[in-house]
Amino acid sequence: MKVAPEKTCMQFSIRRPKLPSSEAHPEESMYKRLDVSAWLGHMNELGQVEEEYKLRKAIFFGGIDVSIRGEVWPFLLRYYSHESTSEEREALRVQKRKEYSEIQQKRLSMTPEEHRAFWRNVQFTVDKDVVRTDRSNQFFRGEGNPNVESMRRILLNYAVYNPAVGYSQGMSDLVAPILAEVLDESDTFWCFVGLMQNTIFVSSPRDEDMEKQLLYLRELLRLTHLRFYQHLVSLGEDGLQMLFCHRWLLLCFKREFPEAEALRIWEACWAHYQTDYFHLFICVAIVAIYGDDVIEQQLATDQMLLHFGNLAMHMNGELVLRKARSLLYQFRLRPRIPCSLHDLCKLCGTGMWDSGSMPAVECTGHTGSEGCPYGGTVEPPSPKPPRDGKKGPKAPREGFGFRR
Amino acid sequence: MQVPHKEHLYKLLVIGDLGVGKTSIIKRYVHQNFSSHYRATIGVDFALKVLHWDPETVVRLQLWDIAGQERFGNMTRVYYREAMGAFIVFDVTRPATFEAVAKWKNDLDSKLTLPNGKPVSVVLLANKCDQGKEVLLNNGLKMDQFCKEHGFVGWFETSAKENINIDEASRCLVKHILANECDLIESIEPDIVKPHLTSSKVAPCWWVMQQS
Repeated sequence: MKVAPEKTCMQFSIRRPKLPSSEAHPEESMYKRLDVSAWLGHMNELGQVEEEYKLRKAIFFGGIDVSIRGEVWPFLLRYYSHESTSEEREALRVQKRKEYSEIQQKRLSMTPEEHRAFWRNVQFTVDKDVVRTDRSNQFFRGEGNPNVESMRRILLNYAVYNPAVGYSQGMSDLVAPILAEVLDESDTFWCFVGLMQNTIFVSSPRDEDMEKQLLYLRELLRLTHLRFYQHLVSLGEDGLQMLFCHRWLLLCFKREFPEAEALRIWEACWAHYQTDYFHLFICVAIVAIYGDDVIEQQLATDQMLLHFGNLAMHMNGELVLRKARSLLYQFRLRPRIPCSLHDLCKLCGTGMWDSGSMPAVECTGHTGSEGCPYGGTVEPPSPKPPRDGKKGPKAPREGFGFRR
Repeated sequence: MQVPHKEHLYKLLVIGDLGVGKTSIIKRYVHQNFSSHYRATIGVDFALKVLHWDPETVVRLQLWDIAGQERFGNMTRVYYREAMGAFIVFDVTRPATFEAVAKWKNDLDSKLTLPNGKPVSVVLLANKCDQGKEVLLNNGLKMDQFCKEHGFVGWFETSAKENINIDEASRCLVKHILANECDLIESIEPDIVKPHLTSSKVAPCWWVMQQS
């Protein structure tokens, strides 16, 4: 092992870093928390959200007031469409409640053989997990709590609804806060369905998703925090696996921050403002704010895991969010991005590069006759490499191949 | 004359089906406490434990708590890397978790070997023995046989709740790792003289337990 003996007992100091205002996103202080009146202001008299992009942007910067989370989250999680009227939503809820009860009925009418398999593959784990999820939250406290039973049914029914995904550990961590805000079981179920469809960090039973996330994260670090990236490289393959951030990605930072802050981060990610991969900017922000010791002390793979593990629940979520927003802003200002990060600019919905310049895609390693699948070009080394800044050259639009 | 001071650092894995009590065992061992509501482990965690093995030797253990649900086949390879030993845990109240033990052992052996190509030392833990349902363990001889067949260096009935046998199991594992390490050194430098360790063969732990 690489750990020096004296390092196994590490001195640990929680720094209280600050983010200089020069580093903040220029629009940082322009938004306050979305409260009831602001929320109603986003809707017309029929209850339709007028400008979805503006709403998402407001949530991205300001978050949602706790009192209306249960109302707004179903939009962010795409259970309700922004164009729907209040009336249509009520009709949808009724229809979806019926659908939900049909799914449940299907679960309850399994043959004994089917049920045995279901119990083994799903129910056993769900039963284990629901009673140990968010028990410190008043909403789930105590023995025989009916809300725990609701959570259980939602997860079991989800596994029936989507047998290919079934149940993975971590899902209970994701569904619990939604249930605690949305309250209604059927509505929570459909919000959870939306969460599983529209977010990338969901716990997936497959390797590829995780590896894709780690690949993007590595590239993003290489681009924005080269010293840390070089440290990872110096550790070899194991360092680049970034064990310390696996739980961050799988649970979207739920266990890294106190709940109030973690849910702010969720909202900022769910806002899908300018990127579907905001969670990766959060990762980079954590590393940027709390990773100096890692580089200075040349921490090995396992020490990094310990370092960031010990930071869980001691980090400043608001600061991390501000830093992440600033990182996204800086990323957007780049005149060119490597093709490896092409997908970070892909966005479901409108408004990605609504203003400012579109970055060119620079190929970082596709060779052969096929060329770069993202249309990236290899830039000849210029004597004066373009600095990050607003004056970057306007890039040709065809450099981008949106798949949607 | 100054006593030579030896320090060892070992990475130990704690694996087994979900809900068998892996996290509880580690928390009991390292922090001396217990809760029946530990959250499910997601990804990997680890904790440190320092053992004053003998007056000359300090052993530092890194206990890697690995999620029980198989999620990432390839990622476990990374989790396993450079480990020197492992505990495989099952729950005596649930026979299915015992049936999975061989699967965990095979998976471990296929992904991890010592630098000399040999499998790492593994101790089997029959956890939750406080719950009085150890149907499986009525026949200790059968367990001994099972351990021999599957290459475990020993097995212990443990209870994280009641703090039973966890220290003992750990000492057993460490003893085998230390012995293996001597083997490793000797295999690399066959002429090395190790006067204080005439034999690198350590008796299996069930044997030791019976003698003591």
